[in-house]
Amino acid sequence: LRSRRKRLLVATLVLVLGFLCIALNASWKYEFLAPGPLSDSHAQLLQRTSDSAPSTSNRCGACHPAGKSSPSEWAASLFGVQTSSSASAATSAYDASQTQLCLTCHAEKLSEFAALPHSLPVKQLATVTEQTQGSHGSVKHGRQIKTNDAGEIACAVCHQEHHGRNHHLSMLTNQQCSNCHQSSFDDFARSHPEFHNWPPQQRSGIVFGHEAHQFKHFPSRRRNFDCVDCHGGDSDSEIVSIRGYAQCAECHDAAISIATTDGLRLLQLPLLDVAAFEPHDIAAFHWPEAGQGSFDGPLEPLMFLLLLADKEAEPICRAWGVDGDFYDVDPDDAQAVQRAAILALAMKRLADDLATAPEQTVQTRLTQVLGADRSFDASSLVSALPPDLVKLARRQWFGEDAITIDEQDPDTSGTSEKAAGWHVDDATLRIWYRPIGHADPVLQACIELATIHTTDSAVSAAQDRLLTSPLVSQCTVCHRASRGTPPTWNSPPSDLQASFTKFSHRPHLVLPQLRDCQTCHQPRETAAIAVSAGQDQHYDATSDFLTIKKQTCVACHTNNAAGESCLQCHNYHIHAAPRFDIR
Amino acid sequence: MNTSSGKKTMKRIERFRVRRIRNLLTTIFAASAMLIVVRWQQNRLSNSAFSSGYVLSCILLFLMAFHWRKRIAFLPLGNASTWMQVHIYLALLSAPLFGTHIGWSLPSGWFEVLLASLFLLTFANGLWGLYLTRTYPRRLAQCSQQYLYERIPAARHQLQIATRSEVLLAVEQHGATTLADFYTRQLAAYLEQPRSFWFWLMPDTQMRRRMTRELAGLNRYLTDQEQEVAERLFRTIRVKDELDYQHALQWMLKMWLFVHLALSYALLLCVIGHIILVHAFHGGWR
Repeated sequence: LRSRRKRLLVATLVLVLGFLCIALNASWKYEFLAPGPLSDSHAQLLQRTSDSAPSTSNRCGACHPAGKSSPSEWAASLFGVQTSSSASAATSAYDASQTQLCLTCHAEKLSEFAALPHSLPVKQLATVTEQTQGSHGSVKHGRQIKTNDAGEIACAVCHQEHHGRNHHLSMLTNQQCSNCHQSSFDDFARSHPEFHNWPPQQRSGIVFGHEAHQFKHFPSRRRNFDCVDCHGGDSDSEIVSIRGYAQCAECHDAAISIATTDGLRLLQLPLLDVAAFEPHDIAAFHWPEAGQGSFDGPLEPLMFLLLLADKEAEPICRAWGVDGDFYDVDPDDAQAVQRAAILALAMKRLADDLATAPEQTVQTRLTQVLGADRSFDASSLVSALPPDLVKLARRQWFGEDAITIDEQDPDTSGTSEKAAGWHVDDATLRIWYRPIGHADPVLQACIELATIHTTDSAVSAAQDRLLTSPLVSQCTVCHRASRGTPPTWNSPPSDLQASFTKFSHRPHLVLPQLRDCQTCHQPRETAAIAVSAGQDQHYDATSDFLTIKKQTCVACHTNNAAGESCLQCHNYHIHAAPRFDIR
Repeated sequence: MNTSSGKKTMKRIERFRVRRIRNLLTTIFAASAMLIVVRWQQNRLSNSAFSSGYVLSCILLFLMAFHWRKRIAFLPLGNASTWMQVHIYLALLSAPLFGTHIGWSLPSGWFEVLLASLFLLTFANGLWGLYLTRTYPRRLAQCSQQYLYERIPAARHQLQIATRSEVLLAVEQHGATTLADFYTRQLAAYLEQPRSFWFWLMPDTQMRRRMTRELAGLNRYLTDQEQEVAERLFRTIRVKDELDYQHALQWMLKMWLFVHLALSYALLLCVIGHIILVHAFHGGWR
């Protein structure tokens, strides 16, 4: 009996060992050894790789360094023994960690600090930890979790694969989050700290008064004020900061259109009393007939800035200031006439330069005026200015043919002046620009030029004139700008992925009681006061709405209702490290 | 004398009862402690599968050591009874630990399924063996005569020869052809042929009752002399049934252990393979 039992055991061992040897050397060994199906996303990715390269039978090697080694090397590595083949493979396979292989695909979305706690640099995390101590519960980082020498946590610590196609790879329990966050988390209502700044209270930079629009502007136009008109938010779309200018255009386009009629003047020749030159022994020069008469004509701020770069004109410009006008020139005052002539010649030189190379001229002159340390890209300002247009104006006004025109004469007839773009007006002797409407690139460049900080009083005065001009002030009503404060053109997209807290309106809007936005977003009293006081615009550094209190969320976010998992509202990986904030 | 023997029996039963309750409570406590530790590790984001896996492996090795211990009986490693108790309760403890190790869900990988199946089969086989070792000896003790397993075929053969001789003698002396016909037709096959598969698994007296009934049915055709021979044939039928019954019970007692050992060694090999794999393919830092 004993010998039979021994034979049976030996047979069993041989059978099992034989089967395992066959399985480990068969073509289907990875399918046999895989502990379970991959999650959907990874499975699809590997399937696609296999489809595109059918020869790639070793799919395990895509994620596991050991997948590129042999079974004997697996056994050897367990005991720290290096076989001859594993020694050569060591550099290629075992040197790479599984986390590094994860990041070969995921590095694009995650920062270079992906494997560090919260994907933040150590110092940055320390700063956040220090700031949140007390208010968010005391935090200890990395003491409990196994890390490598660099303090990095392996991806597999949290993301467990091979648990089936529908397994949620990012699922973590509140207790697991509490591993680092020492303050105990029993439930959301009792344990979570009060919200301090949610939603984030900083303004987008675009001036908009919700109350003024709701109670003043919309009623005056007999329009219904509905939040979702501008912010979206229905069963198919997420709430956004704003949908774009299209929502505002209906009312604001008309005002913008009126303001742009006068246009932006780049060059405006004055009326010169050329007869006054001779009595004061001033050499005559050619001046267009339409520009002859009693001294008259303002110094346009943009032209003024360009003239400041002219050595001869600069002292006169500084003496006159941007508010100076040829109308103030006394024909009997030799010095005044002399100055007027110098300025007129400087304008002619400016026309010459613009006709030759408009972009380079503007760039060079503005750099000279603003200083080399204040960068300004003039390309947007005059990129659309056709050089031939200026050449034609120069030939018609000054009658000189030194500069040839390459193409057919641009259309300078009066009918085209209603169209957007650069124009030459021979009657008023001006080169001017008519904006295309909202978001005009030339006007944007002009406002950016006007907001560059400078200590030069003459330049500052010209910038102020630009900002307060009817055309530009139409823009700065919403896109607030001042000298030293550049304008904000677009409301920045809500990049909640870059912060610790995330929020999606969509699942909340399913509840009928939450479809009224004011259930959560209650207006601040100051906003209401501003409207009642008749102010058109209310704007300060804070939002029009009160911050949301935790109590608002507590009613639904319980374990048995909407859930109270940390990961419902908080991101672990903070992607854009430079922009993170604490919410 | 009877009273004192009864008291001793009662004391022994009481001692067994206390030991069983103590061991069960200890097992439950150990299982609860391990589940708490595993849960605590999961909350710490530690890989609890490693700790539970290694504890399971150690338990498996210790359970197998019960088999190896028999080979080194000369060493003072405690008596077999204690080892048996530890073996039983450690095996019981391994079940919840195994459940925790696999996350209380059925594995889906082929190798994992093989491993889990081997564990579950070994565990179930062990439970069955426990049932057998607790009930079959009692059933064997109820038999009128005890036979050694190895001697049962010989005893059966002797019975077969003796019966044949007796029937032949009866024919010669009394012309008892009725009994000879019965022997040729049914009894010889009953004595010679092995019992059915189901009898080996669940021995019963169905065949014995049928044979007895058949023989009893012949009674009215038998002479007085033949009836004396028939009486001895009744005894032969009972003895043969007892031999088969004891053979089946003892075969089962030995066979489950064969299967248990075979499964255990197969499980051990797969566990070694599993350990190598998880160390090679785990996703943590090396």
